[in-house]
Amino acid sequence: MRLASLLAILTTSVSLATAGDAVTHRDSSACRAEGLFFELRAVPLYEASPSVMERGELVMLGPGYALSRVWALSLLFATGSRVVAPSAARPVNGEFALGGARLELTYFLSDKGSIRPFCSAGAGLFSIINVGGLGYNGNGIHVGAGVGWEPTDFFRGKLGVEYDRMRFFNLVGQPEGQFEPFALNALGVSLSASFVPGIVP
Amino acid sequence: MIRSAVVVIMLIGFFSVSWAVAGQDDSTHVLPGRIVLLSAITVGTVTAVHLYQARAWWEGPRAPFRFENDWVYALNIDKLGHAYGAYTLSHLFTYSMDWSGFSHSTSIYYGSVLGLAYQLYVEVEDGFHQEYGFSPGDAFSDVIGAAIPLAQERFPVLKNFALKWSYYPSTEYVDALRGGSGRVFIDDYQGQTYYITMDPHFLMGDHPPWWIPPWLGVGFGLAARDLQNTEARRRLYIFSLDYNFTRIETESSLLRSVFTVLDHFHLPAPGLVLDGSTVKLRLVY
Repeated sequence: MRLASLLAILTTSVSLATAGDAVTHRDSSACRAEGLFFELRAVPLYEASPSVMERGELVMLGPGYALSRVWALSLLFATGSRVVAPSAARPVNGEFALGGARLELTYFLSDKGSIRPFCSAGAGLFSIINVGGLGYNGNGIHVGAGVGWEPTDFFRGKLGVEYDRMRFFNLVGQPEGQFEPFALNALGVSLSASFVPGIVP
Repeated sequence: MIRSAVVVIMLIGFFSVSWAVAGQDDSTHVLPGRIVLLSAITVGTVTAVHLYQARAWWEGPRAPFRFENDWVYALNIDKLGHAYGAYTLSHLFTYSMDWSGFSHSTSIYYGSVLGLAYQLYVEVEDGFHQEYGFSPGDAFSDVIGAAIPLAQERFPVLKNFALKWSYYPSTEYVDALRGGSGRVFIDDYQGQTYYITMDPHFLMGDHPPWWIPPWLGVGFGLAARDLQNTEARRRLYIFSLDYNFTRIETESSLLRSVFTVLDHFHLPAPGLVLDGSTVKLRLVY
């Protein structure tokens, strides 16, 4: 049901993007083709493998650099939580605070218009640690797609969906026990806002 | 000894660069000698600060790099400290590059980048320390602090606002020092207050009331008390008068540089302190 909702949002987003491209060409207000920006993103996550992860969310903030009108590279720091389903195979279970950083490449499918669809992919390092200081270290990958909106030359909003896979393979805090590496898979709806200073060095 | 030296070096660096930059125009005439001089000062300062921090913060056991959230730490006063640190460092690098002859837009752009880079380097070092870990919340604050000068350049009305810091050593910190503790004042969050200050004159049109001098501002501050006691720890909210030193007109570049430095600090002024349900009037806070 949730997946269906996400697909509906994605379809609507792409439709909006297409409509926007057709009727709205506001290049004069579009953000600069190249330069620094700062992005804030919130991603409620929906379980893709409920036997491992029950729920979670991500909030990310970081700097980025637009390499051109269609390519952008971001370094996003992430905070959030993960509730991992109990398992005898893992020495630490329960609710974890998540922290991490992700390097992300975004490609806008059009260089014209103030509403443009995009796709993105990234990779990063993550930790999930409980209140006792115990948890896991790992890495993750992400892919996403959605639509970006640039109503002015200093702001960009993005709405999209993303898939996150995080794989944890090291213990943190020296808890007792052995474990097999495990992965958390999640789908999320992402909403982001970027500030583009537009200052040219 | 090292601690004092580092603080002195940083203040001298900040002061000298501010002095030098006073009165610079916006054109680009890069001066290689000044770049070399400032690069040397920067490398020396960063090295000295690193050595100091290695003794003060990172002396304990190291651990594999990890991210660790600390959103409840010090009632978030440390987060304000990170934002203020990135903001102030970005200004410092901006002034330095201005003085070296770069255009102001170049200076402010790379000033923010360098300010953020330094703050993140500290955070990465924390990530390898068993007691700390890389805090995403600290990184958030660093990013926000480094973005503020760029936002102020993009929207000049924001230049009427500033981040400021005041410090008075807490009893707990002084006792710890007397007990031989190697604690650093930067971690004395009970002694620190962070302010967002505003120059209200921009709201008053061309003819502000005569009884509000140009240098008078207002500030909203946040502090914390009793952090060691989980039951009693609390935030203090301060509504205070403030001094906008850069609004004092002077022909002296020396004084302008002094004022530029002072405008990063909140100096004692009358204010209202909201402590729990109690409001206290302080003639000096």
